[in-house]
Amino acid sequence: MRKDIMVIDGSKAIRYMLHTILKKNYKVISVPDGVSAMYYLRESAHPDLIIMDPELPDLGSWELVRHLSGSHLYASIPLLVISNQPEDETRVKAINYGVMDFFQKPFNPLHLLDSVENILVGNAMGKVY
Amino acid sequence: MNLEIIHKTVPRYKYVRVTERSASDAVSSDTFLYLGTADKVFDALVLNMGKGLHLRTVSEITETLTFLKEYGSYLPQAIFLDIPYEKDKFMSIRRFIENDVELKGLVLIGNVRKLSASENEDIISSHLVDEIMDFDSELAMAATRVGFLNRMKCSAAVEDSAVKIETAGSMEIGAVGIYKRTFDIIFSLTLLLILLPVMMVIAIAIKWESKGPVFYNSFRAGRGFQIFRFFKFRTMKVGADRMIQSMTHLNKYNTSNGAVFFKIKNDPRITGVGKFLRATGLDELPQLFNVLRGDMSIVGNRPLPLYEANTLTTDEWAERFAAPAGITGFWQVQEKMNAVLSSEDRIKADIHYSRSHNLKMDLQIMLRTLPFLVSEFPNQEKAKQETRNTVVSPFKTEFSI
Repeated sequence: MRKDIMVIDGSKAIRYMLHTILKKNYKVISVPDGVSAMYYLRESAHPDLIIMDPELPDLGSWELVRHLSGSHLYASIPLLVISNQPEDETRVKAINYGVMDFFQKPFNPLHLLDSVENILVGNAMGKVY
Repeated sequence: MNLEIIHKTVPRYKYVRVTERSASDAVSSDTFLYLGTADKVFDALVLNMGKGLHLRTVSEITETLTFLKEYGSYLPQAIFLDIPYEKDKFMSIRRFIENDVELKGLVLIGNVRKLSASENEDIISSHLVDEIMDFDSELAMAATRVGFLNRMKCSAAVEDSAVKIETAGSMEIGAVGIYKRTFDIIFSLTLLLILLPVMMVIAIAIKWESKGPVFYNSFRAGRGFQIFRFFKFRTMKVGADRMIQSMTHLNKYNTSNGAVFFKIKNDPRITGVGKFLRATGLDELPQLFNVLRGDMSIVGNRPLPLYEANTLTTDEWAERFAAPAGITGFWQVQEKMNAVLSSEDRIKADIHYSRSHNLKMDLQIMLRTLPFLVSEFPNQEKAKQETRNTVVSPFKTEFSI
């Protein structure tokens, strides 16, 4: 079965790019902001992975990451963050919120694909044990 | 205030207990309903959330909400369900608030302490609540969580257009894309048939001069950063890629921020046939195969090598990947082109093309490409001496490594 990936990013160009590179192996849905993200999560089956910009147009910085990672409903969904912030800052927050992996724009899409695969495989193995 | 009214107006609510929070405890001025029996939990909620009503049955919830609506008062933000899991009860509450536009922002919170593991799974997969919290230890975050969820739910409820969800289908190319693709297939196929003899001759010449394959493949990023094998006739000695590191000081596009593009003059790695092919732009002919395969279009943004493309995956620049890669493109044919267009201006031109391209624009670009094909060939040496007038051929790749 194809894994579901949810992309949350305010930039349409980035969403389009992620769609294109991920659609070969995964089922992708994308949303531009926090309201749409929370709506989708409320109404649909949980995705296997969320790839997101921690800064979204309708929310505070890292607000959605904080909510998802602290939520009993959503904390089990692995998060991968692509941020516009400096590496140090991103790393501290990523570790703090238990984010699986993080990238900074500009990022190498091939490295991102590797990371996505690792997270999804690792997560599947985690469920077996 | 509003809940006190209920308390006074509907005295038959035995269990109603309205507590006024003290100003110093104010976290939020919002109200909530609590369904359960634990006074301790209710008190903790009051401390964190402000005012609340302590209710004992599901029917009291619906009655209270109906009353508040009729009274035209502010509605509570959240219902805390501190009861054992019964699917029907949870479902009826969720249905009640979903069927009412005014109540759509109301946040339902369950108590993880009252749920077994399987019930937990069920409540999540059935989307019966908006959040689960540990009512014994996590209520200090109640206002923050409820505030966030309430905001998200209200925004989504106000108008349907607030929710934007894109699936693979909605990201597909539109009518312009279909015309473009049709045109590309017809054009590239025709040109390939006409040029087949020329390409045969070139292939033989390359083989005759130096060892190695006829074609040079490199990976390029096209539309949506789709990575494909980019075909060219080989114009350099085999192994030229490895020489790039030692030659960065010759790069014409060196900038303080590090080079985005790589191009040098009088590159020593180029073969004799290669020099001719590059000067005429004939080395680019195999790209017609890329066009036929759908990797590229005739007109579009230059397909970038990955090491360059990787530097453009930012909010600001990624839009250049929204258009197909092309053999010739918008910035290449701009009239007032300088000898060296700044890399930033090129990306801006790419983005302009991504936003506004259509069949008419493509045809204009193709027409304006034609003079370059003819003019550059005899003037190649002269152009090299006069950098000021150097016109980079649209068919000349900037990144031929």
